[in-house]
Amino acid sequence: MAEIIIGGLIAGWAAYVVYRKVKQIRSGRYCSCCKDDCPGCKRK
Amino acid sequence: MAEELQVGFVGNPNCGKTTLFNAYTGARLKVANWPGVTVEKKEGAMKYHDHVFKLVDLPGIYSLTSYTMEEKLTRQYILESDVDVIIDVADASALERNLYLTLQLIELGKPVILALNMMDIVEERGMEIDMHRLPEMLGIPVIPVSARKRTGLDILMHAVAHHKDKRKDNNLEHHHPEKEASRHRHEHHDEYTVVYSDEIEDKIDAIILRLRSDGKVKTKNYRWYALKLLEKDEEITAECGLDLSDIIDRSYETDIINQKYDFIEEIIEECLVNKNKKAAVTDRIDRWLTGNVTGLPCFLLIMAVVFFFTFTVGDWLKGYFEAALDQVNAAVSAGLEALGAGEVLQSLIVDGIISGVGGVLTFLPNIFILFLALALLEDSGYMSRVAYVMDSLMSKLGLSGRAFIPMILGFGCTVPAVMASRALEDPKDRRRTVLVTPFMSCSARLPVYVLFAEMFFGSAAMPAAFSMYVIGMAVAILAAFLMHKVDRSGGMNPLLIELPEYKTPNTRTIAIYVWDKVKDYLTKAGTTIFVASIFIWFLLNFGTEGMTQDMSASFGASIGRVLAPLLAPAGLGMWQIALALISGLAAKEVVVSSFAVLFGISNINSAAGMTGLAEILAGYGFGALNAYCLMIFCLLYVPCIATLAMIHRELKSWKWTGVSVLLQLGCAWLVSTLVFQIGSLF
Repeated sequence: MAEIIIGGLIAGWAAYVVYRKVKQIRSGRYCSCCKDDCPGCKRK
Repeated sequence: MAEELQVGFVGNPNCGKTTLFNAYTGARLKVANWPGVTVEKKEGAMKYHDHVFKLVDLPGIYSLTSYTMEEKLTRQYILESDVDVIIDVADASALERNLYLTLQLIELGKPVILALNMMDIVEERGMEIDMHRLPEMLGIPVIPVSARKRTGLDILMHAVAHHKDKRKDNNLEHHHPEKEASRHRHEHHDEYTVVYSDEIEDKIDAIILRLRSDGKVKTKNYRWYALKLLEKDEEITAECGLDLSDIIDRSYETDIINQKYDFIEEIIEECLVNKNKKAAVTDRIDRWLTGNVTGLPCFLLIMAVVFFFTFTVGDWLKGYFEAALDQVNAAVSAGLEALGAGEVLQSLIVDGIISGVGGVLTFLPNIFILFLALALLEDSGYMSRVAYVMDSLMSKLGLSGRAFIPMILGFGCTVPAVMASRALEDPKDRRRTVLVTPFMSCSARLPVYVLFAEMFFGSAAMPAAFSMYVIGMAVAILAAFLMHKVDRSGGMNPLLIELPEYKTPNTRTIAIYVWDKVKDYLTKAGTTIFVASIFIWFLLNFGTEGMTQDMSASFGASIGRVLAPLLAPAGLGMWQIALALISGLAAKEVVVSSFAVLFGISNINSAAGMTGLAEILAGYGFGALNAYCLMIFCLLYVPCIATLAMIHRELKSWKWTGVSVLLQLGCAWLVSTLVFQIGSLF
């Protein structure tokens, strides 16, 4: 059971990271390393 | 209901607009002690009593002409938006230069408040500004502030709340009873801040009469419009469409500029006390740091010192991280055993995630020291000198000096550096800059240098890593030079850069800068590097026959073997290296985590981890020369996916993005092969 939970958490997090990255690139937010210089990441 | 006011921050580059904006909005926009940090307008909001202020931070400009992109953007914003009050942020320590823009803003006719920033520097230099006479002469409120020390901020907003009511539609309307230009007496000192010579005032009156009688031009500020027509401003002349050749016989731009400066001289004469007591410290330092002969060696020396600290202090701090990682490793292994986790899950967590992510995390102290040093250099005012020093070298090679600013930014992260190339006006010059900027060594490559230099170069580790930065700059300049030789078209962008006064770096600015970088590094470790480590673990533990203990039968080995022969001339003909380099496309740090996963090293940055990896690599015939070539290849080959996406966005062309990829791959292969082949002779 513990194995399934841990494996699920890892897989879930990895899927979320990939999903966020793809969404970021598609929306024009290319990076997380330069939020304040990136036109897509500018804070309103 | 709260009243909403739109407030624009305008001012010369590097006068502290963004620091002031951050102080009000709590935002943490990038600030630096060099011009051109803000390349587009940014917005924020704050509440002040019954008002909601919408604050807009605009790019730094020296005047309101329409020559550069930043000037156009700011002028357009002031003219076309519903801005209620303009805060003209001026560097009080360079009042003479800053007042030119102030006079132009006043002429625009919108409510202006002059925020005199950097008053602390004025005091340090033993100067004083007559705060009674200055607003009298300018006809606008003048508020002394210090964005760094956060003084005067409330008073400035108080002035904004009051001054908004000063808005008058015909603020600069020219009233005189006669209505005839010929009988005009030019006694407008009560009406206008700047009164020009009789000749120009006559022409302004004549143009206004013509514009009014024609009635086609819709403006509330005829005087400003007439001045722009006299300056032969392209935009306004095209918009006007009237034939005024009988009045405007030539461009009066120079006359208008000179007369503004005459007035500024008067202001300085009256308002600046002890002007000649200016400390000459900056000049004395600059004699060395920007000297023709000493400038470049000083820059290289300073960078070498930065590296010395990155390695020595970074390595000292690293010990604690390694101990922590060992403990985490032991605890997780014991926990998984206790939970009865299967072999696959244990391998994934211990060999994949902890080795990969943990291995990269132990480089955090080195990254921290590097960014701390870069932040100190930027905020002290040195980095803009580097652009100035390199300008003379680049102009000798026929290159644009402005191109070096994005390249310096590339020491931090290539993504904003590529974006900064927008400051170049000529599209071909911009393209050349975008293509060569990735050659500058970004911070993500540092873990690769630290690992391989320490593993193979012992006491010469620091110079070996430092040489990467020099090689990167040399390749970038050489590539730009060759591109210029092939395609000579495109204008020269002369470098017009203000060299700010040296100042003690501000703790808050440094803390924000370093914390942002550290946070980004941690985020990257938990996201991109985490996923890349799992992916690499999967590629190395699974093959066509399912899970395998033999890595040479894995998917990863099959992929690596295809590319390894191509890398053999550069001394990198191992499938493991080929695979690590491919994975480095996600982020350059992944090259390090890949090595950890590939060779099963749990704490790659520790002495034991390094010795273990060096022994394994030595078994493959991989020595110091191969390590140096790997460092060069990592320095020059294709940047990360994020950078490629930004390159495509900036160049708006798949073809040129492809050219960029090929250029970087070609240069990486060529330079590392040359070094390996020549090195093998000895």
